[in-house]
Amino acid sequence: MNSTLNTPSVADAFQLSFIFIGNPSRGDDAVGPLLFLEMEEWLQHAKMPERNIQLLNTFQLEPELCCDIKETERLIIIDASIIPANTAWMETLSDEISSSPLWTHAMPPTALLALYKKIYHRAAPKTCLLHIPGESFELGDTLSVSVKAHQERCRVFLTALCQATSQTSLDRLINAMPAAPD
Amino acid sequence: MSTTRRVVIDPVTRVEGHGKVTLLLDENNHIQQARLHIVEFRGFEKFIQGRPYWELPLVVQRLCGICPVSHHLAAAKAIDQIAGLTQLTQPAEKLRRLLHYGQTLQSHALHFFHLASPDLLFGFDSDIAKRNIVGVIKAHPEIALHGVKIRKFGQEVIKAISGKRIHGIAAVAGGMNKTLSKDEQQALQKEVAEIIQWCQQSTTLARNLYEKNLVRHREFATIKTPFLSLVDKDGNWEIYDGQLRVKDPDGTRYLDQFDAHHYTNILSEQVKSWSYMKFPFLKERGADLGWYRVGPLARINNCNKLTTPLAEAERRIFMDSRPEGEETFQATLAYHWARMIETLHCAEAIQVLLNDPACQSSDLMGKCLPKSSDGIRTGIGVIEAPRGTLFHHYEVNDEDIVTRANLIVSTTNNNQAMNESIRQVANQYLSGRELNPDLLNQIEVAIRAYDPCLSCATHAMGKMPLEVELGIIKNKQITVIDRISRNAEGLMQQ
Repeated sequence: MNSTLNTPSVADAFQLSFIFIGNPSRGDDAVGPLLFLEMEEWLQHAKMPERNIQLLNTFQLEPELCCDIKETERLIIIDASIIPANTAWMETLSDEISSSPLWTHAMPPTALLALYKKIYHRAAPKTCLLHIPGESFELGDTLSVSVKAHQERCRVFLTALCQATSQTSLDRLINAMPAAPD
Repeated sequence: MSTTRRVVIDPVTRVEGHGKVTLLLDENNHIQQARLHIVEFRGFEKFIQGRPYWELPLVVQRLCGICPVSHHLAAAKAIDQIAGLTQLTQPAEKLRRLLHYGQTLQSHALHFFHLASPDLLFGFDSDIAKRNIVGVIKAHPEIALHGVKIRKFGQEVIKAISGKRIHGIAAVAGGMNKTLSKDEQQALQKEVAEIIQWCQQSTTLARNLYEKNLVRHREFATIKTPFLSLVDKDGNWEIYDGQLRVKDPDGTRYLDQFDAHHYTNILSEQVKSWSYMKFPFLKERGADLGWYRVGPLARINNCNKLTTPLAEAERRIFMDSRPEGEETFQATLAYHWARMIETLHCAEAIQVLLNDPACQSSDLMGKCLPKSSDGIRTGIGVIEAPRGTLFHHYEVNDEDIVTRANLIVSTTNNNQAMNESIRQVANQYLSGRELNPDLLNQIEVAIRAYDPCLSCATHAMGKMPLEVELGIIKNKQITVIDRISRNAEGLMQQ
């Protein structure tokens, strides 16, 4: 799934991409796809200055996503997390992998960035992973109460990122988020 | 008093989902038992019960992130019957086929380039630190980039038809809900010739890699089994519809043109206490002798021909490469080569359909008969998913609610075969009482040939640390005497 608002006429407009990960049928794992739908709706109606924003929704990270983020300057990945925490938190990701992660049909985010670097012979876009702490991931579960609360706060946060007029202001917003599970 | 040792490999790397391997040895260090355990279960069949039947094509896709289209189409074929469809329109059938070719292309590309090629290009015994797709890109940048782009193309075909690259909605009861627009058709047409060229090169690569190490490829993890797959009415390769064919190792057709809707007459599933994945078998032959293999190797062995020229030429080369005197191609590692022949065929078939005006037709819904009577209605959708034959079987009550579901997914069909391949490899590579990374690696290579999707088979989430335990059984008690593990970053610990 891909949704783009692309009106690149502002001098400091930078391409900002979001990848929302999750399975809508697996309890709190659905928070990524749900946020994608909310953001897609919001972007269609938001009265914003010209921006260059791409929303991607996926079940799991796959190699060809490198092609989608080829021109991206800043990337935000949104995913439910099994790491216990009281609030959502942001992790800055590297495009270096020190060892050989054991990949399956799905790739870890750092592996995607490392692949990007190898394919395009340049550093991957500066990337942060928004961890949304989940409680239950069983098939058929609905969102837990805590994740519903995180979802609303994350939606507000993500809309703020979309409105950042420069990468500096984007960084300011990101830095205001917890950088580790509390 | 007998003494046995148990080796545990938990779970298997670069396989979707969560698996564990245990090996049981006798006092002479011979493999007494090899088991691929599937230890996670999420009960998808139960989850489906109680839902209206028309939701099925949408909901069942969430079984898997890698072959959702196959589940989508198998469910759609089943609900066509429940809705009383008399005949799918030609445009709807062609669009479904196009969708499925896109699915098979992208799934096969992912497996060959990203999961299997590191083993094949660098060798099974090479340094695990570089035996991954990043290593492939470093050493063979063009091959790796083609892999990414072939997969991307397959996803674009899926997106053009279903609106999304993953978990879109295209097939509905009685037909399709969207045609292929002229713009979508033209965008794909621009790319398809190059995709075919890359697929052809990749098929040659798979063949060369096989032939380069011929003896090992022929012997490694090889077992002799019947093959089960769909074929069309002329016995040709088929992945969307058709009838079942079972071919024995000597080339004899045990079954042919068997109506897949009656699969319960010929197949049964055995449940074993140590695994959540069932063991299907041919009823008449019984659980011990009736197991078989499915997937690319089965389809290429079973079909009379492929209907596109480049892939058919490759199939002939493939079949001519059988060891002398053998009627079927049984080498487990030949799955990789067969997979790439199918990839080439899918790319060619996509080109044919992109040039077919029927794919722009709006005649997408067939006629459905009115519900004739109350009571249970049954829908059975059988399709060839990338990893093999996929059965979706539903029962629906008179309120259109699903009351029973049974799914035999492709990986499940290969369950016993994977166990037997593991046994074969362990017999060859396990020596003495020492556990070592090489043994794990060889077992993983054997399992990966089948490209199992344990996520589909059990609906598990992928967690990829690896653990091996070595134990001794005395008087039915297991004592662990050695342990080795590989963590999620691929680092070995002992």
